[in-house]
Amino acid sequence: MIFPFPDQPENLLQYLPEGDVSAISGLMNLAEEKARLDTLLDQKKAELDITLKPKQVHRLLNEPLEENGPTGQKVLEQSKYYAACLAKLDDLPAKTPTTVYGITGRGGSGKSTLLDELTLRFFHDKRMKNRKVSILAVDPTSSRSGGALLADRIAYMYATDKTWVNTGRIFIRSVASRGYGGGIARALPDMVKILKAAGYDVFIESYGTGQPDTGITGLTDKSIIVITPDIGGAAQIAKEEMLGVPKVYIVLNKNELRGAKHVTSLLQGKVSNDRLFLTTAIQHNNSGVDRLYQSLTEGHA
Amino acid sequence: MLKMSLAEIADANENYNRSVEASVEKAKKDRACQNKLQQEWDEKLRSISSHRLPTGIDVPLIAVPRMDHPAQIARYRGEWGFPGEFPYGLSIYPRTFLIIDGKREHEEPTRIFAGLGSPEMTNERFHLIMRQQQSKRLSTAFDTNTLLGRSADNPDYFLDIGEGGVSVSTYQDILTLYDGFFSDDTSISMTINGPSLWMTAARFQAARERGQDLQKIRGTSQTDPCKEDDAQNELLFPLDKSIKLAMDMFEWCARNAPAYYPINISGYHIEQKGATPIQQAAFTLANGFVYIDAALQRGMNINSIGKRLPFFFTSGLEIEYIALLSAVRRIWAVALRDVYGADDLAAQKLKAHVQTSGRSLYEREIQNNITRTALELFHALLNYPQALHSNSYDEPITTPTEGAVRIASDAQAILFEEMGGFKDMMAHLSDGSGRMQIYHSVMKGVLDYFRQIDEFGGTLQAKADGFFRDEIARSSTLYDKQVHSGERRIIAINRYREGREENKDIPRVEISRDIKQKRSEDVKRFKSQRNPREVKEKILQLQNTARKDGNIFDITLQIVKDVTIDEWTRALQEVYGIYRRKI
Repeated sequence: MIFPFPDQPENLLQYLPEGDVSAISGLMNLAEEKARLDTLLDQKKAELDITLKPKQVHRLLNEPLEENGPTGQKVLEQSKYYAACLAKLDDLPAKTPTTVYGITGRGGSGKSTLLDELTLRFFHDKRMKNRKVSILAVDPTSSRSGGALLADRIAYMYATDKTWVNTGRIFIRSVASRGYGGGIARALPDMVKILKAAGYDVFIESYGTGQPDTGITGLTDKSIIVITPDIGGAAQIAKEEMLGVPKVYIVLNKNELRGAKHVTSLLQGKVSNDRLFLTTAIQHNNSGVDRLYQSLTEGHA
Repeated sequence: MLKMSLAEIADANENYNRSVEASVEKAKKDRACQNKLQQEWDEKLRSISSHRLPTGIDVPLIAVPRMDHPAQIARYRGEWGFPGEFPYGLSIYPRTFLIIDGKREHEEPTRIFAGLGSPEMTNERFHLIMRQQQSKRLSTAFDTNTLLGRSADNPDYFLDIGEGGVSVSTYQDILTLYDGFFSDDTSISMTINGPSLWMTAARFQAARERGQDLQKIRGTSQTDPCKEDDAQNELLFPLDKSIKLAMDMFEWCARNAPAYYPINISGYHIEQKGATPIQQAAFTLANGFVYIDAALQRGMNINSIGKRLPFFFTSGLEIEYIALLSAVRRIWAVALRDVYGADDLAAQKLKAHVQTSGRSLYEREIQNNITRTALELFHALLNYPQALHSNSYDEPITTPTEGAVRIASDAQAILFEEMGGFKDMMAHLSDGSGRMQIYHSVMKGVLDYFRQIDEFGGTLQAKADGFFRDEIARSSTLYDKQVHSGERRIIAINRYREGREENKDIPRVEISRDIKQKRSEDVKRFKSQRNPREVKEKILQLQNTARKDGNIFDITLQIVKDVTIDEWTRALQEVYGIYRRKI
């Protein structure tokens, strides 16, 4: 086991609805461990050939999945046990309705800064004063080193500011993708469930993976794609699959850069103006970010 | 509005170089020119008086080379100039460091940097330093909380209180910190950037209250947001707003505190972050021109601007440092004269404070740091800086202890008063061939960087694109690799390492929990004794001024007695936003 968590994780569930941070962290660790075990099983299955004849099933269950590790049988049991714990999340009484937002886009497009600015507006928003917000920041695991640089949070200046952290209204978790595709991590669906049960709105910051990247939309209520004026010409824009997903918020960030006007007009040909936002996230009080925030939170009394 | 490109500045310097060559060529052939040069030279020699040294020999006050041909005179004057003469290759003043008939011509350059714990503790340290210094020159180090505009009553940063510098949060703290030093003959330097306007305003207001006239107040505030963006990250507001604030104070001081230096353009931190000597020189000068342009845009006069922009550089063990400051001075002087049109000589003269390199010090065999620092001081003196700080040998492991500070300060006294040379004869080692080589290498390296920066569209754009930071990071990585491979030799680290014992029993400065607790309570008490309505009103005044783009230094002076450093910072962050460090 790589993450420490309590022997009886189901006990944590009772603390969850009141938003207990250590209960959230403990369950997150559990979700991440479950994802790791499932991946081990999958890898072994693939190695043994997908059809899994009885002999192969026997090997899968009785051989250790990794050096000096438990057998497949043990791993399977552990994973099922964790799954059962997490399934109990569904039985928790629904508290406040929460919203899951996703932000995706290529590396360097300004996702973290934009998210940080949205968080600041959330903190200041009187309508939100009884709500809490969380961030799941997904960074890619390097296939070469096996490690991940969980760097998104370096850019979170407001979200990590003690003034807000001390209010207990913000929770941040960095997540490594661990080889899972689509710009997300395998544990992410469980993590979202945990945060929702704890009464948090959720922002998922997913890493940029290139064009056919719609992995995040299945998890979110509202999705944002961030692009920049150096995206390229019409053909590149055509390849951005997210643009075609209905109701996705399209953000052209670094709108002050050369080429922004041209890209704007290309985008206007593809998406309606109420889905298109022109922002300069690094600028304080940027009106484009204001407009995006208003649009995202529309309907909150 | 007037805005000069670095390419123009590089051009002007290359033109100047060509003009030196042309004057040398002319002096080889042109008879009239030869006569004129020889005549001036002879006159100069006659004007240099001699004095007798304790050993009984007579030496001239300025060392000048023997000249066999007027072309050599033309080269000397074009490349270096006499001490105090354009392009200031040797010195900006003719008699720096000289002691004649037992009397010093200028103030001694010693300026020892200090700050630890509470304002009371640091005040005591200042009095101690002053006991062994003739001229009253203080230099203040602040703790991280203060540098980031946090006050000592903030429980989240309790452990940082007073570590590595003094904790200052309120107007009362400034009165305590500088108690006994509110006099016209004291020059106080403050290493403060983010909340520099608050700190400077507090000192000015306290000085007024103690009867000082701001027209005569002396000292320096660092206020160099550009180098923060390059190296330190201790900015409170976005870079453009931080430059605006610096300019508010710069403009105000030019009128109302003319002897004060509100900005100190610092290469030290850029170098400490990993820059090579040439990168330090190039980036720091580039930052300097940013401030000139910003001040010109405010309608200030170039002569007034040039006089008020002193610099701060490292002196390290690398050979570049034998002539780095000389090179930087020449580029600046040529730019100010030929590009910006500064005709007041005082505006062409780059004044510099130099500090020995903290990066060159190591924990292992820690007393070797005394030797390193002494040699770096020597490198610095070859360039005739205006002020000097020598590091304490124990700095790799602690805020300097009293004993280590004394050794560091004595090192300067030994060089200036005990050792024959700098006190006896001006420029006695200055125009040698090694210095000439390095002088030109550094200048060329700097001008090359100017052209590269210019291709980004200027200094601010190059910063925004990460050029300065990336270059510094690249050099830093290379430096570490060289230390690891042994290509860069460091004694007792990668050379002669065997048989060394680890240093034991080195005294360390501890800032006790009690001191931190007292600091926190003092600030809480200060805050609770104010009228909350008045404080709120003053903060609103500050924010309104910021929204209307008024002069923030002016309003800060009016409210600084009641508004603490953290309140000031928060109020302005609400209007301007925060600084986002580059990653």
